Amino acid sequence: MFNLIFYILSAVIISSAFITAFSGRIINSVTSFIVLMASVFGLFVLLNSELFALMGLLVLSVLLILVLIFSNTKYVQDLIVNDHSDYPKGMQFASIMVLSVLGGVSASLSSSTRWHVTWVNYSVNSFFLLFTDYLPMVLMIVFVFSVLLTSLRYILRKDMQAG
Amino acid sequence: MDAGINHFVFISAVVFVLGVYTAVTHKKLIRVLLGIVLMLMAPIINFAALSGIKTFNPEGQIIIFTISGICLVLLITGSLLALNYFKNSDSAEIEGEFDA
Repeated sequence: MFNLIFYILSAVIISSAFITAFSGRIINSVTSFIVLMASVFGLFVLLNSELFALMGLLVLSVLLILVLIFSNTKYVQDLIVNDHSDYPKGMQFASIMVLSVLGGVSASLSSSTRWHVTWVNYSVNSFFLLFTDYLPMVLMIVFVFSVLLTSLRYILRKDMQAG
Repeated sequence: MDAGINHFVFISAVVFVLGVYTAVTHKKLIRVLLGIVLMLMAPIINFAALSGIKTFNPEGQIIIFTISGICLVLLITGSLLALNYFKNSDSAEIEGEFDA
């Protein structure tokens, strides 16, 4: 299991580093750089450094929000301002829920030591604690993240339309 | 084949070399900044591997914490400088800026 996860993460790291270095468009470089950072933090979890992995994830999410807010590229503005009415509303809601679930799981990992125990003992029983003992906190964090992301998207759209 | 310390060092070397290439060969400020951060990421991967591959070593974790803080400060400062440079010069390229 350790080797499989390591080889997958290393493939993602190397391929995203190549895309960052050799891509023609800056937005592709920045996107692949974000993927590279996320996979490096996944590697930290394998190396018994969960705290730094979660710190890095928090920093990465803050940087992502800063990039979205302060970006002057037409591509990002088009993503934020346009309603994309051809996309079904359920898909937009699902994407926000997926992001908030990821945020909720990462926040619950920060309050749990079971992740480290899992990788040391190579057991999958500890994963189910996320859905039993820590489920109320995970649900609350998922709800808060979804409200934050939706409100941020609403504020950015209003600001872009006004400006 | 079991993943050992050599595998992590190899990944770190690839990331470092690509960071050097990105920082040296590109003209855009954002790409240069990405290259510098890639160069800073490589030793972090090495320290994490050396400190945590078999047993937990707290000294390596402290060094990772320090380098991560430096990388974050550099990223934020570089982004603000790039934004300021872009506002003043209407250009995000640094070619010819330091010509004698």
